[in-house]
Amino acid sequence: MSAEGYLERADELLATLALRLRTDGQAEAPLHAHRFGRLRARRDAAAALVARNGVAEEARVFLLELLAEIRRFVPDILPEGAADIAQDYLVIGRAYLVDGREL
Amino acid sequence: MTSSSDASLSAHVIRSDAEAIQIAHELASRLAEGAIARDQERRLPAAELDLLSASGLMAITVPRAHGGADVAIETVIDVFRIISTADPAIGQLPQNHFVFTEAIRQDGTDEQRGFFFAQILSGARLGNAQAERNTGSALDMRTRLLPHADGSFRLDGTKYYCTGALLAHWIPVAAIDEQGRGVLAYVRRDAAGVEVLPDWNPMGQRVTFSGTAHFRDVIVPPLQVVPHWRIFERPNIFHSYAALLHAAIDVGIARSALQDARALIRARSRPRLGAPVATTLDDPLLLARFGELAVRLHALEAYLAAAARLHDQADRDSSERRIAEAAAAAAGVKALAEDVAIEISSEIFALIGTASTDERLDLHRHWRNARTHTVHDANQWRYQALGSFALTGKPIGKPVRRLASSDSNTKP
Repeated sequence: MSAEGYLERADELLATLALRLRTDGQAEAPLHAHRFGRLRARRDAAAALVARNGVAEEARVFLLELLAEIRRFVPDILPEGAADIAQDYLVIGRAYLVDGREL
Repeated sequence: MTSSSDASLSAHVIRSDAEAIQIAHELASRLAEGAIARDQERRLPAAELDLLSASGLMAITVPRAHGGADVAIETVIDVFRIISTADPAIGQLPQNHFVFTEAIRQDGTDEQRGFFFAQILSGARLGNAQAERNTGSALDMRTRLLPHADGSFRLDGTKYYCTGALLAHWIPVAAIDEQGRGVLAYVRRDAAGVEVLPDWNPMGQRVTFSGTAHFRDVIVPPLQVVPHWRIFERPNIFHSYAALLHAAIDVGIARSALQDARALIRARSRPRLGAPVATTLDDPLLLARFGELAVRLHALEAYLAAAARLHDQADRDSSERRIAEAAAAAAGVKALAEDVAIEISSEIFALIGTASTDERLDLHRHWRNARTHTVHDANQWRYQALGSFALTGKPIGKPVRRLASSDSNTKP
């Protein structure tokens, strides 16, 4: 598949993810918005790379990695009752930083 | 310190975007030569900033009606990226100059524009005195600009992180006026009551000298007061433009680090201990990792340029939608620039090997510079802001400074 094809696929996945976050009322949650923003920034960087001449192969591999990252995010959100990894990290971080647990 | 009224000020006047880029490349080659020595010796870059002023680059955003080139934002951002690749401290020093030149363009009177743009065209530099320590929030201020019976104002306060102030001709000082509004007082660097200290002692961006400035009963004529609060009352790209300038500095650091790594790796023949290959360049793991970093750098550079073009479009049509999209792009680029600059400036050591730790190479300056500059503000919240905009359409907010309450916490 070309870089343009991968970009289209990334856009489809992100659109699905955005829809699910909105439907679940998670679009305002800071951790989800942060993670979505991180993916979106990479998607926009990829689109800018796709638009540049002479770096199609670089754009393709960058997008492949982005697609893998989006797929890693999807299980956090999509399955009913699935563990919320980002939230778990927040709880652990709070234990060390706020509650004083020894590292 | 010469004042901006000093007749010795003179600068070339750049006429086009292409000329600005060409001069930036020429200046960058000269600045790159001394970057390591400046970093290692913490040398005040007075001569380098004078070169920058004389080159005309400091005036490239002055409107054409006032004799400037009024170059595209994309050009300004590229100039910052180019200079920062040579030396990111020299790249950061004029960041506030461009921001506060824009503040005059946005909210200055015709008289203020005429006066200050003429100064800038002749080579005058604007510094910065915004942030304060020991307040409850980073946006709280105790600095006041209050009216005096003689029709002028008096400025009192202490600032920190005053990048550019030490070697500036003018210092734009953020203050709260009698009505509790945020104003900018552009005070002469050599005015009575102004004291700028060389007390910046960080691990990176060492020669930005972003230390303390005291303002004690400084007389400020009305000509030098810009009603900056107005910028917060309408949609505009002022704040995201400032963020994009910062991002360009980090992109420059990332490129510089990877360029240095490339040169050193290519000069090595012996593979690293434990790598079962004949030569360095036969190491597939090294090649793959370098390729990964190169792709990230290129994606970041493309993203920076695309975000700058969005700012040019938003500057032209000023629609709320365009402005919000530009701000979201600036947030994404700045956050990604931190990730990529930190990753590259750290990973190059593992690619090169122990030889990379030789102090004479000063390769760690890239990481120190990236780490110091990227903690300027909470970039992870920029990803959150971009995500929130993408998911809900909520535009990114502006950092409004306000008067610190008398009972506010005192935090450094």
